[in-house]
Amino acid sequence: MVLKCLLVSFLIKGQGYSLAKADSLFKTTNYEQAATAYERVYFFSLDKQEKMVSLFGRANCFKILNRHYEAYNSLVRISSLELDDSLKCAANYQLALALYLSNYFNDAEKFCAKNYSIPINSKEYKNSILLHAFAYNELNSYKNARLKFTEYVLLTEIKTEHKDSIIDFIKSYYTEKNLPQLKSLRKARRLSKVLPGVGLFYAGKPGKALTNIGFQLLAVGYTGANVYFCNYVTAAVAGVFMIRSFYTGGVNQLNDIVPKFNNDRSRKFNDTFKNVYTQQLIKYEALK
Amino acid sequence: MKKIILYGIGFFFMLNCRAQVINDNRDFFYDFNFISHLAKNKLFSEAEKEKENLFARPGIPSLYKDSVNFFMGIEYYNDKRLPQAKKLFLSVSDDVFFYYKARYLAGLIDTENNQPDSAIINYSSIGESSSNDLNELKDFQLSGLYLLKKDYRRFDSLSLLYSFANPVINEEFQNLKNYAIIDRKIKRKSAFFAGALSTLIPGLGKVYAGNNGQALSSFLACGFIGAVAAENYLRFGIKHTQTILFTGIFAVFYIGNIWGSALSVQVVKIEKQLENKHNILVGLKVPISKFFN
Repeated sequence: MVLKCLLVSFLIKGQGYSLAKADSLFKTTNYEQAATAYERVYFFSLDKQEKMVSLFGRANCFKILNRHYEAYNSLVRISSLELDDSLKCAANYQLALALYLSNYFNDAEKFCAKNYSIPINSKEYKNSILLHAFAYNELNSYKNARLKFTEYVLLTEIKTEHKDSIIDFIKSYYTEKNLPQLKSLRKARRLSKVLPGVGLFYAGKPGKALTNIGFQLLAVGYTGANVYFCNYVTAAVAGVFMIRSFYTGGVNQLNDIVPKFNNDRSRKFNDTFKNVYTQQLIKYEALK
Repeated sequence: MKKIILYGIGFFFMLNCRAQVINDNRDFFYDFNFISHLAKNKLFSEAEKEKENLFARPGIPSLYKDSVNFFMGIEYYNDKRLPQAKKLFLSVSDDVFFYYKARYLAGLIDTENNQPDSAIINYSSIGESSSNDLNELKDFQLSGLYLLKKDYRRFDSLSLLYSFANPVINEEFQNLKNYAIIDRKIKRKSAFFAGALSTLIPGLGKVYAGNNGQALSSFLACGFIGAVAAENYLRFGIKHTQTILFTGIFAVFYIGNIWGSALSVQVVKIEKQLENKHNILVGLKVPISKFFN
């Protein structure tokens, strides 16, 4: 009995960092504590499998707590060399998802792309294709997004007519004429350098363009008038200073205007597609 | 037979008690390791919670409390969270061998945070050590702090008093003496004289202060605007709007330049003082890092 007591006491102490304890905390929605308990398992456990499971568990806690970058920090510690193909695929998908939800679309895209070299057709593989498509959509890479969205639909197990319906929607939405006409900052700056104010017209800001042209004309007029009245020093100093200020101001404000314009335009396009496409997937039960 | 059974039970009871103590110690050790791991990975909020749980457990030896406070303090210090680090360093008791390092690092945080008085109080509270090197380090730090406070009288009296046997401290102390000489030599140039020079020729006051680049740009700006104002005055007379406008702008530049010249004298002095202060701070840090790392 005494020996049994000693053994029980030892076992209880040994369970201080058990995976079951972390899981039970997770089940009782104590996610913060569960995350720490999973970290404890990761730190103390000598079993590689247990370590990996704990990192997945920890990432899951942070995902529920909407702390996606912390979820990424947990998952990134999983050594891909020790994983089989299906787990590697799952890890890449979870990493990509955490990055996507943290708005790191470029990195999310890279983790999704890693899954293509894995010879597997699991649920995570399919999900990573969908996530890849969403990442491309956010990156305004519409050609790739269209391919990936179509690929995902083809992999789903829904009726052929439903597949065709969604694919038709993808095709019609991503036609050349529907794509948001994004502006090139380089082109806008060049235009404004050659013809002051034209870059602002190109960036869709006619009001600002007219104001800038007006100020530049005033500055030129002021300089010309001073030259006409033989005020050469005033023309050279004050006139040239004003012309230069309005000219460079017109070019430099494009650095803010063009990205904002592109973001507004693509945001509307991307969000509309995301909503309609997801609704269709739900409607045809493709997300099961 | 009864006796043997009783002895046997007693023996097992003793074994169980011993096992409990070993288990408790082992658990404290595991928890300490886990908290260190969390802090090393910058998971401070989790580390703090774990620390709270550990400290709330009955019978925790002070060694573990001190170790946790010290190692978390080190991680906070490495992560540049100095107030948290200082608080933890100061809570390390003098029962442990890393007490001195904790105290000196807390002092260093005060020194870096421009709180030499607090650092002096901290160092003064460190008792005499059996190690001569540690006693010398304390005297060296105190003398450096008096220099930072510009209390030259005390610094001089200490520098006459001490001859450090430790070569590292001795070398740094010689450097401190040089910095003290430099500190005394940094004199404030006359702001009035700089302003007067700029009144005569815009920018000349900044040359006197030692800012030649700024002097040239001030001279050119005032010169161009002055030329414009003069041209408008000669052509249109003093009452013309354009003359009034450009004369006003010129006046703003001219007066601003005089004011700027007077200020730049102070700025240059502060820059030199800051450079010397930085050198003193590095000098104070070097022996601590060499002693304890």
